[in-house]
Amino acid sequence: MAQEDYVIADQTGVSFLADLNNTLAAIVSNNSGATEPATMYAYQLWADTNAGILKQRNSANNAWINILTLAGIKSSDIRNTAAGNISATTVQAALNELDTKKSALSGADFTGPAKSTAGDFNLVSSTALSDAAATLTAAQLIGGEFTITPTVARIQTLDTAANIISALSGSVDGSNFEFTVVNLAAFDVTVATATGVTLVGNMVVNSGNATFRARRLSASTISVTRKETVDFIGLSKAWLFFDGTGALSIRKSYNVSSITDIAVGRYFANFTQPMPDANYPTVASALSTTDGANRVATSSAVSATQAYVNTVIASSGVNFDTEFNSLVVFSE
Amino acid sequence: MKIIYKTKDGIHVVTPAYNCTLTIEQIARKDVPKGSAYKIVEDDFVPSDRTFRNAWDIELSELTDGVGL
Repeated sequence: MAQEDYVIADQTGVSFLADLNNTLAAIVSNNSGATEPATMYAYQLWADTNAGILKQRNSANNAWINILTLAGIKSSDIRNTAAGNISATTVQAALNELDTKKSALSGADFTGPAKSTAGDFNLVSSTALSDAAATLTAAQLIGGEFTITPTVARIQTLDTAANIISALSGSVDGSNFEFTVVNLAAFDVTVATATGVTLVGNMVVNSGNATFRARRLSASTISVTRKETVDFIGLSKAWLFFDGTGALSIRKSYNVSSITDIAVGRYFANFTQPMPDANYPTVASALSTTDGANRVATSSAVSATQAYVNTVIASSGVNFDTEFNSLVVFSE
Repeated sequence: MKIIYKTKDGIHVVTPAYNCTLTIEQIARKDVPKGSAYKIVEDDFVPSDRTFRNAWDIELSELTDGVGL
């Protein structure tokens, strides 16, 4: 390693020789050293042995530009096939930005409490909640799935923002994770707030499941937003389209295991998955294309597992088998 | 396949949904009323002529495949 000021002073022969050799040594080693040369010139090279980078002084002689690493990787080795070579300045700017963001990137996204060793999926913890009000702890919440079978309406309170953020090691503002509440019964489960937590959207989970996203807003606050926007209560829970004539057949169905032919124009629709209870609305219709007689279809809930369909001739009220019968069932 | 059982109102015929993943036996146990004896039959066992549908009948002794749960 050698560095010089590149000024040969007026001196004795021995000192001149030493000064000249030092200058040549500085030239041949690209002014190598762990610190920058004491005297610098525009466009001067410096092999920075501390950083392991060959640098070049800029034209204004007020900063160093990284040229390549001392290990031999050149900026020109990085190519953009669409735009040609990327300049060293561009590469260095990108590297500097990556360095700046590296720590933030490492903790920017939490979709589960831990990743598999392969790193290609997240692990989700499952917690079976008791049929009681409780606090969902930070450790349970991060990437968690909760199941509960409430016998009455229950409130599940979130952990504080401070505890949740503390459990998100390395998190930054915007870091987030999801958790899911699965309600296995018909009574409401309400997710309640805690210190530092802002709730957004409907927090009531009724007979089904809901997924929430928790997002760090600051070092001491988080928001919890319900992800689903669909009101599942408004969706049909079962439907049936069948032919009531001849051998009787189901044309199309959803959540129907079978249809029971009770008598002429009278049927039961049997559900694969039962309704929460026997209190649900049904809608039925019937159409015949063979005899031109108007039909009327009525229906009603029989039990949580079964609904009744009745088809009659409109003019007489007499039960009659019909080709095109529909039943739609709504429930919570 | 269809399932036949009988109540005081007459003979009932259960037709499984083609897209139901349950077996015919599982459907029978689930969709036949609790305690009612049933029989699993081929489709052509049930008349396709429904002119006298409400007069159909079967002996209870023939319903030997199981009981609804």
